Amino acid sequence: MGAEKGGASPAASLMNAPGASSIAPTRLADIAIEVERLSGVVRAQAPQLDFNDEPSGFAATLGNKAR
Amino acid sequence: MSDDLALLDLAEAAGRVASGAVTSVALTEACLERATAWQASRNCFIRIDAEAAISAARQRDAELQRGQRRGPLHGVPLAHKDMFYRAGKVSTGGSRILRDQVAATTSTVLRRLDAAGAIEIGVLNMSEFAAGPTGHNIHFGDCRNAFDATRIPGGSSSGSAVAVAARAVFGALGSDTGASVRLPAAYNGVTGLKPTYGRVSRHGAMPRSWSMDHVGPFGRTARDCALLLQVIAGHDPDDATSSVQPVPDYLDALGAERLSGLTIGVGDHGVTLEPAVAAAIDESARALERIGAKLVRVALPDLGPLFRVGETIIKGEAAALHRQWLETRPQDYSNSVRLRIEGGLFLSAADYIDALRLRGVMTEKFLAGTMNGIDLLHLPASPVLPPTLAESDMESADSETLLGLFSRLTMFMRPFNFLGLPAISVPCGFSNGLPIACQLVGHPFAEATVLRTADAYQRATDHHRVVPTL
Repeated sequence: MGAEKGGASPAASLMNAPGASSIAPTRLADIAIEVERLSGVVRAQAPQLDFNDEPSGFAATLGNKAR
Repeated sequence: MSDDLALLDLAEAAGRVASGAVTSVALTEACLERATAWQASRNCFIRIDAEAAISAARQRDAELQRGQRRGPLHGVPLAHKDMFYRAGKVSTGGSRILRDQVAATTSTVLRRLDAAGAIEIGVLNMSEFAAGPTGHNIHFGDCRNAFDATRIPGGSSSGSAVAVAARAVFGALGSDTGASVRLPAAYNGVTGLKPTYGRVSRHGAMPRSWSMDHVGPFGRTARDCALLLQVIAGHDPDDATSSVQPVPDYLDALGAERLSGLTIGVGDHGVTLEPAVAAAIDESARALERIGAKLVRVALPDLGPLFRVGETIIKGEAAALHRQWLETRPQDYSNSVRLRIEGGLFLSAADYIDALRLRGVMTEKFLAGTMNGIDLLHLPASPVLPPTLAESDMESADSETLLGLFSRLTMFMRPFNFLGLPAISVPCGFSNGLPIACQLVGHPFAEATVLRTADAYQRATDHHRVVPTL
């Protein structure tokens, strides 16, 4: 595939995403902290996941444990 | 007993219409009178449809005279959070962006309430896009607590709780993505149920987070919530996440004076509560014990990960829902709502998907651990009394302050949106005239046990009978 590389950076890609262009630059540090906190918690919990765990496991659990 | 018909419970009102003891028009007029009186100071309605409500009530009365009763809510006036679509009607979602949006379809829950004979006297105030636990709304005006107009009503289903507390409607629907039925119910002295995820269809309800949204009823009593749940629960082919689990007879489960054989786990949460809240929560557990429940102390896992992994799902989904408007109409959001959504734009897809995968695993562990050997978990609804509108106005706050306050208000509730478990907020006391509530959490699809316990508690106590005054 012939992806264009000129001028691209992960940060530019994120800030050009729909919805992000209106975000004030002064907000970026706060957002980074918030995202890092959430991602950090998810990643800290992730080791309990098995390769075969999938999102639909939640509905199955509720159904299987119904009282 | 007062002759104000609006002071009846939903179940009593429905029974009187069915028996011909009162007309739907009389009930509706009584509710409209209170709605108008309370609206001035509490702003719990976005719109009051008096003429349409009276017209519908006349129709219901005429039907009864012909021997036609649509269902268990025939002729009973209700109103709902302004996010349940009705074809041809505006549904604002509490937002500027949708304030002129005319719905193309009618939500499943409204169709079911219509079929049961209910009527609507208007639509109720809410937090913008159902995002915010305080009840502030810069577009339609802040909703205010039924017991103290200087205090927050809780959100996001702010108007639903206040209108039911004010006896302006006999019941209401709200939605609960992170506390939004239970917190306002707790702060306004009414009963609010978040059913199991999938128990009630979300079709035609404005989404906040598809995976975490739960539609639930507000009532003056657990019995009223049971009556509403009976009507709206059950599989819906239009909502792929709705469950095919059979719907039991919730009303049949009620009426117990004793809770013999029921084991309730009192959660060791380790959180410092406001002293008055702590005292009321302790007393509510003792009251449950006095009516026959067996109490056991249970260790809770750290609720933080359940809260944060759930928040990851909400933020990711809300960002996907809103990102076009964030791009084209950022000025049409309140600061506080926009701040909460923006972070979701930067979450990685892998983290979002892992959050969804963790949901099943963590629910399974919670059921096998904390819920093992108990029928219900007993917790506070909120660690604090409702703060003032001024001290919780986050419109000019930074995101850290905002998220800190919102997390504190909802810390005992959001984990159960993530786990999908049924949970009810039940009035259990007052301090300085402000309501306090406990929360009962059940096993999946065990709404009957949750409601039966709340009903038995309310037979033994009268906190839910306290009516606010203007």
